[in-house]
Amino acid sequence: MRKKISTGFICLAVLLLFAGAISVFELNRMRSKTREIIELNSHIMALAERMLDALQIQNTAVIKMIVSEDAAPANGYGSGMENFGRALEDASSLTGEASVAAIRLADANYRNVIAGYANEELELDMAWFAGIYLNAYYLLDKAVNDYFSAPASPVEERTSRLESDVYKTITPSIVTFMVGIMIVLMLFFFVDAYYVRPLIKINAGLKRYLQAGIRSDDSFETSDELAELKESIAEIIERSKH
Amino acid sequence: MRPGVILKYIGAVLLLNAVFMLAAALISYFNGIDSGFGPLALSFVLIAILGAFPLIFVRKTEQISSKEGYVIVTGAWLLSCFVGTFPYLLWGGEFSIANAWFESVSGFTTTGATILTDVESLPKGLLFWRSSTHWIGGMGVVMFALAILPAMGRTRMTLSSVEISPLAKDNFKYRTRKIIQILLFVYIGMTAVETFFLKLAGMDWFDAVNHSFSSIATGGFSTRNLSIGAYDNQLIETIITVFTFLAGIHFGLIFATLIGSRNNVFRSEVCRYYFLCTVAGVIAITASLWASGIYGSLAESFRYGLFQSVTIISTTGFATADTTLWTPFAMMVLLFFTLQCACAGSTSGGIKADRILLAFKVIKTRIRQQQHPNAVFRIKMNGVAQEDSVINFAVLYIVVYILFIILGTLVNTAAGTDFITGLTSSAACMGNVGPGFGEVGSMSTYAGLSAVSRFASTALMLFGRLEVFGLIQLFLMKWWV
Repeated sequence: MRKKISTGFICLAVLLLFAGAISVFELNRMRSKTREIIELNSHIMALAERMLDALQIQNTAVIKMIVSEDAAPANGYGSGMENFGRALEDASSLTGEASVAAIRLADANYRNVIAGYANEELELDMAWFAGIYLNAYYLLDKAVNDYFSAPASPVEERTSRLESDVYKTITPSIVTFMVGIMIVLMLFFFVDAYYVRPLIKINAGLKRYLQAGIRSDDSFETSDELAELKESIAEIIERSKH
Repeated sequence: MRPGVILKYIGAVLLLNAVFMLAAALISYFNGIDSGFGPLALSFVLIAILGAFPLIFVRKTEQISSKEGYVIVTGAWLLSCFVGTFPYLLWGGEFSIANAWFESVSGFTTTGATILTDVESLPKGLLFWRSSTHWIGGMGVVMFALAILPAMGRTRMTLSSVEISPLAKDNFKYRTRKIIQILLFVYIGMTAVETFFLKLAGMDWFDAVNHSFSSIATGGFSTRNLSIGAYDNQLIETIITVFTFLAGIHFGLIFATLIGSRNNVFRSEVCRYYFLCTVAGVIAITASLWASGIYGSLAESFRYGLFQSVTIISTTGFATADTTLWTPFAMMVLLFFTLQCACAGSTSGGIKADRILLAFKVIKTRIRQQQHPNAVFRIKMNGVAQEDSVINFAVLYIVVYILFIILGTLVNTAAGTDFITGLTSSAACMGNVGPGFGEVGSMSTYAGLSAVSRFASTALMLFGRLEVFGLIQLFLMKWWV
């Protein structure tokens, strides 16, 4: 009897420990994924900042050249685009080529516009600046802003995956606890049906005999040590009659 | 009634489910530990513990009463469907609670209706589990367990007498143990042979095993979004047509035919009716499709007409064509097949060809009785006069069956589905066929139905699989007293 009840409780304990282990494992996984998203977000923002800074340096250099009417490249003119290029490559390695495709397109367009001036195809004046240059600049600026804020951005994608991961984190624990509850109910039932109730009946029968000398109806079934107890009591009663 | 004993035998059935879950988990493991491994492994552990738990407390051998037998069989079915949801719920994706329950019930009852819009996105382990639910349910969750459990004397007889349809017992003139052996032999044998032929026809082993599980159980789950139509292979279609047709025949008769016994398929009146009915349906549908010009040639009309007819009448539900685009006449023939289905003693559902044939004979006798009021007519099946109780029960079953379909249609239409979808989905679920018409056609899924309709459909599937009365009495208080 002790072995059966112990086995029952051990099963329950194992199941609850299992549920706990799964919860801890899944919560740790969620925590690391959340940390990943936060880190990715901060990396992307840093990269976007670098690109915008580089663009700003380049833009300032172009404005200086127009204002000074100097054909020679102003300070920061080339370095701005070099920094931008490096930041773009870093972004591509971090979040994939597809995520920076729009920036590359706008960048290529911007470089063409600058190259047009460098090749002396166009005059560097306000008309060129306002008409051609600013369009290219704003397109590139927008592409960089869209990189970390648009719905198709890598952060957004990982965040929506996190929503389904939350489901996967919670569900195993819920299912395991549900099974645990079923086992608890079964354990309660078996202990009650096979040990508690027979004990109560044996006790009631013994009391009836002691009070009124009436032998109880012992047709109910028992097992293990309880069966031995029932038989022992029946034997005592038989012996006491003789 | 002894709840402990009932739980013990239900636990044994759950252990069987756990074994198949373990197999599915191993497939996921050897497939590069895909996303199905975790859910299946966890489900295996949970269900194994749940199934083994009663065995700790309940004594080894227990004779059971017929009432306990009913509760064990029904409880085993319901709990198998319940634990069958675990891998789906744990995997997530398209499986909400309602969807997981629907898919599990559809699997075990061998209906084959699905809520998945993208079957191919499932990992291999989960696909195998889906097909396994068909294979377990096709034989009968309890019958499978009985085949594995050690000798139990009268208990085995009591449980199998509950699970095997009364009609099916006619052709089983053996002891219970032998009946189980025969069923297993034919079931496993046909599955193995079909797997081999499908592999030869061009499927890989994984697809061949899954489709064989589905064919012989007359389920209908496929590993492809377009079902069998995805292969566009006439040889595969032919093999599946042959085996699903055979799976609609009484397994005892198949066994008798194989061993050369006199009481075989060719001498069975029901089998002859089933065969002729199928042939007549195929000819009618082919002619209708060809006349309407839906397909370019007679050969093509025959190809799709044959496959869809056999797959529907056997309650399998595979698809190579979109039957919602067919002529109304062809759809009506398929609807009749959906209601009648195949023979008792097979893995198919529905009213059964035996009962329909008996009903036709009752009608014929009634007409003759009106012509000759003083004559005494006996209704015979296979040359054996049928008892009035058998005839009355068959007719009653047909009436109750139709009533359940009407009830299902009422619930579906109240939940917002259109009439055609509501009626045909009710008929398809009650008959464990799978596809209906409207939104639940052969190339569609049940994903578009509301949660209420899906739950109602699962109830119909269970009532159909458990032949209505087995489940009804559990809801009656008097039965429990």
